[in-house]
Amino acid sequence: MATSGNNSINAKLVLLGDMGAGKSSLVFRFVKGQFLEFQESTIGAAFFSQTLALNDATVKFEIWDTAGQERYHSLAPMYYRGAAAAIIVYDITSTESFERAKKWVQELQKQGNPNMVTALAGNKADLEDKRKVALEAKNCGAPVQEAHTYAEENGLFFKETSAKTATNVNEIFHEIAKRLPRAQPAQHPAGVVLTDRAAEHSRTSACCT
Amino acid sequence: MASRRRMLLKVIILGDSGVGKTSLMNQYVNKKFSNQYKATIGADFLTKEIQFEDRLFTLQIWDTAGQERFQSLGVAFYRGADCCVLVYDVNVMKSFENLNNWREEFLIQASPSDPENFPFVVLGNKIDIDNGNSRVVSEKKARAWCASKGNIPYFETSAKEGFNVEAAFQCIAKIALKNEPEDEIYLPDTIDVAGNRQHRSSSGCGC
Amino acid sequence: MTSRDRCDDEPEKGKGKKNVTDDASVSWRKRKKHFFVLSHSGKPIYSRYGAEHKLAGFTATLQAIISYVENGGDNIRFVRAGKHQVVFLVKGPIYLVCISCTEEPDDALRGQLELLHGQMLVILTKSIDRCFEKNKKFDMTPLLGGTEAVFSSLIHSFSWNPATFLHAYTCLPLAFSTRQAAGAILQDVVDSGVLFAMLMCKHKVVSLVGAQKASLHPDDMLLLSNFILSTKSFRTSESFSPICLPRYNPMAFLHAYVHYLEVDSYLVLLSINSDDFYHLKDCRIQIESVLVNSNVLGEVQKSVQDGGLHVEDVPVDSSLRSDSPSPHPGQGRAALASRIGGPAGLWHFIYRSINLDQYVSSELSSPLNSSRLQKELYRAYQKLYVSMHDRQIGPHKTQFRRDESYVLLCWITPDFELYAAFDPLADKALAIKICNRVCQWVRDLENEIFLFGGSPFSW
Repeated sequence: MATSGNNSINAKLVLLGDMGAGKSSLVFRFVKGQFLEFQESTIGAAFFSQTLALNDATVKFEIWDTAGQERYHSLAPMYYRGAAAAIIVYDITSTESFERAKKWVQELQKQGNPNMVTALAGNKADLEDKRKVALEAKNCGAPVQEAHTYAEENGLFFKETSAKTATNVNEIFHEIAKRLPRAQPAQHPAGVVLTDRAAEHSRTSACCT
Repeated sequence: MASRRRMLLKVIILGDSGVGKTSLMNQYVNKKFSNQYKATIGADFLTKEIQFEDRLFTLQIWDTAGQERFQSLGVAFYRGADCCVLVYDVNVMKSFENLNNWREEFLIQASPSDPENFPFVVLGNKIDIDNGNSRVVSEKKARAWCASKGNIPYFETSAKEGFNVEAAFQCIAKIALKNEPEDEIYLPDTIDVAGNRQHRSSSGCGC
Repeated sequence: MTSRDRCDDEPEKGKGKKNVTDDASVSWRKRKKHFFVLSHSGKPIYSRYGAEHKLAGFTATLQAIISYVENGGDNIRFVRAGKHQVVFLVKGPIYLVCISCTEEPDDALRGQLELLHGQMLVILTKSIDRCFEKNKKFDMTPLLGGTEAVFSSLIHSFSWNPATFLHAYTCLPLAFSTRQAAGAILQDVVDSGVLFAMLMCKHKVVSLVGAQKASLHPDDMLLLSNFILSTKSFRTSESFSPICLPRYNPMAFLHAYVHYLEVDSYLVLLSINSDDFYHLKDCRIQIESVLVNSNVLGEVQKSVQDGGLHVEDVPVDSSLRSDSPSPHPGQGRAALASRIGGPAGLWHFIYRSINLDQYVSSELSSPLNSSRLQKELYRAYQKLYVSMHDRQIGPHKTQFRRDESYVLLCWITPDFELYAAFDPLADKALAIKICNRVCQWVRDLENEIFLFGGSPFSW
C-alpha cells in the first residue's frame, strides 16, 4: 500500500516479468543510473529503495526486483501482495516474454490489489531491428502482437523502455508516482504484523535507504 | 529464430529386427559413427534437433533391439516416452502383424497416463525393394490398421526416400506441441509457522 | 586452501561454451572430469560441459546402463574403463554420474555427487521428486534456470575446498572477544525469531548462531555459502530468496535474507516465514550497527589481510630449527632441503576438530605456490582421508607416506584429525615431532581459530 504523512508517500513497487526481459536492468538504471551489458540472473528478489520528488509529494519507492524464473512463481504473491504499484516487463524482441507478461497481468487482475497502479514496460526498445512485438495492430495476415492496444484494453499504462539508453526509465517511475493515490491513512507495509515493532520500523525507515 | 523454449522429446523406435530401424535412424540423424550398444544393453541412442513452426525440438531417439532378452528392460527404457514409432518391413507380413504386439507391449510397460491417446507413428519401410514387387503389405491394409488404432499417422519410406522419415518426425513434433501441458506452478512444501510442522502442498506441483 | 587460480577444471565463463559441444566433439571427450545429472527417463538435466540438449543421446545411454543393471537385481556403483572412472549415484528419480580420469578415490567422487544433488535441493527442495512421480516425462531443466554459476562453482570447489571431503567448516581467525561481540548480536537476532544467523567472510565463518534445537550441518553450510558466493545478484543490494537446507529439512523452503557488509563479508538470516523480510531487514540494521561500533568488520578485514596460520610460525624449540646446527647425522640434508616452509620441512597442514565439526588449514605458500601443486596436494589429502576412513579395512590411527612429491602424515584420534605435508626428504622422526607441535599450537590458539558455544550440531 502507499502510505503517506505530510507530502511523503511510501510505495511498495514490484517488477514482474519473464527472465531476461530486463527487470534488474530497469531498476539498476533507475536507482543507480547505470547499465551492465551482462546483468546476472536475479535469484529470489532484490530490494531497493529510491526516492522521487514530485511537485506535490515525495515518493519513496520500495522496489522488489523479482526473479523471472519459474521455480519462484509460487512465491510471487508474497512480493505483489499489498503493492501499490507494479511494472510488468517484457522484451520487445521476444513474443514469449510478451505472452508471459499477459499472464502476469491476468494474475494481478485476479489476485493483486485492485487499486494497484500497473504499468506495462516493453523493454529493450533500442533493439528495434530485432523487434517481434508491435505497438499497434497491423493489417497484414500474420498474427501480430499489439502491445499498446493490449495495455489500453486492460487499464495499464504503457511505455517502451530501454534500460541501456535510459529511454523512458525515469518517465515510467515518474508516471507511476503521479498516479499513486495521495493522503492514504498510514498502514503497516505488507508483512510486518508484529505490533511492538511498528514504532521501531517507522523510525528506521526514515533514516536508512 | 525460435523464441520459445526448446522441447525435449523421448522417442522409442520399435519393430522386429531386420525391418531396417537402425539404417533409417542413422540415415536420418546423419551420425558420423554409429553406436554399438544394441547387442549389449538393448538400444542405441541418437540425438536429433528439428524445428517445427517456431519451436525447436531435441529428439532423444531410443533405437531398441528387437530381441526378447531385452524385453524386461521395457519399463525402464520406455519410461517418460513422448512418442513411439513402430516400424515394419512392407515385404515381410510377420513384421506387420507384430506391430499389434509391439504396440500393446509398449502400452503395458510404459503405462502412460492416457493410453488411448498416446502418440504413435507407423513407418512402412523398404518400399523400394525389388521395385515394389516383393511387397506383401499393401498401403491400404496398413492405413486401415492405423486408423483402427486411433488414427495413427502412417508414413512409407525407404533407404532412398528418407524424406518421409523427416515428415514422420515433424508429425511427432506437431502432436507433441498439441499435447504440450500448460505450465504448472512448482509448489514445494512450506513449513508451518506456528508449530514447525510441514504443510504438504495439496494442489499439484509443477509437473 | 584458497586456490582460485586458473587450473585444469576452472569453470569456463558464460554460456557460450555450451552452444556447440556434443558427445561427438573431441574437445568434449578430452575433458578430465564430467558431471551429469539426468532423470529416471534418461532426459538430461545438467551437464558440466556441453549443452544439455545435445547430450540427450549420451544421457539416454547412462540411463540404459543403470536400468540394465537394476533389471538384473543389482545397483551399479562404478565402472573402471582404462583411465576413466564412472561413478553412479541414484537419488530417487534423479541420476547423477561422474566420469573422471583424475584418479580420485571412487568414494570421494560419490561424495561429490552427493553434494551436487544437495546443491539442487538447496535450489528446488526434494519436493521436486513428486513432480517425477506425477509425470515421468517431467523436464526439470527449466526450473534450474539462472543457476549455472552455482554448479560450476561447486564443482570447482571439489578441487580446493577441504570441507567437501572433511564435512566440517572453517572459521576466519579472530580474537575471541571480537567473535563474541558478533555472536552476541546474532544471538539477539535469533532470539527475536530468526532460525539461523550467519556472518561469513567468503567461505569462512565469522560467527554463526542457531535457534534452540536447530542445528546446521556443515554440508548445508557449504552448499549455502557456495550458493550465495556464486550468485552475483546478491551483491547488489538486499536480497530475499527461498532456499532449502537439505539436512535441516529437505522438503521445504526457508527464506534467506542476504546482505553484503563489505566486499567479501556477508550476513545471512534464515527464517521459516516467507513474509519476514522487513523484520530481517531491521535485524540487519541492528547487527551492522553493532559490528561497526565494536570494530568487528575492521578486525575481519585485518584478519583477511594477515591470512591465517602460517607453517613458518609453528613454535618450535631451537633444536628443531632448520638453520641451527643439527646434532644428528643425516638430518643435515633434511635441514638443508627445508629452507622454505616451516620447521623440518613442514609445508602444509589441516587440523580437524571432531567435536566442533570445524577444521583449520594453514596458508598455502612456497613451494606450494602454483595452482597445479596446490590441487595435487589437495588430491593427496583426499586420498589420505579416504584410505584412513575405509570402512572395510579401517578406521586407522596413523599413516606415514613418502613419495617423490611429499611426505604425508595423517593422525586420527577420537578428538581430532591431522593431515600434514612435508618436503619429500623430511626426516620421519622430526616430522612426527613437528606434528605434535602443530597440534599443541592449534590447541593454544583454539579460541581464535574455532567457534565455540555454537548450537551443538546433531543430526
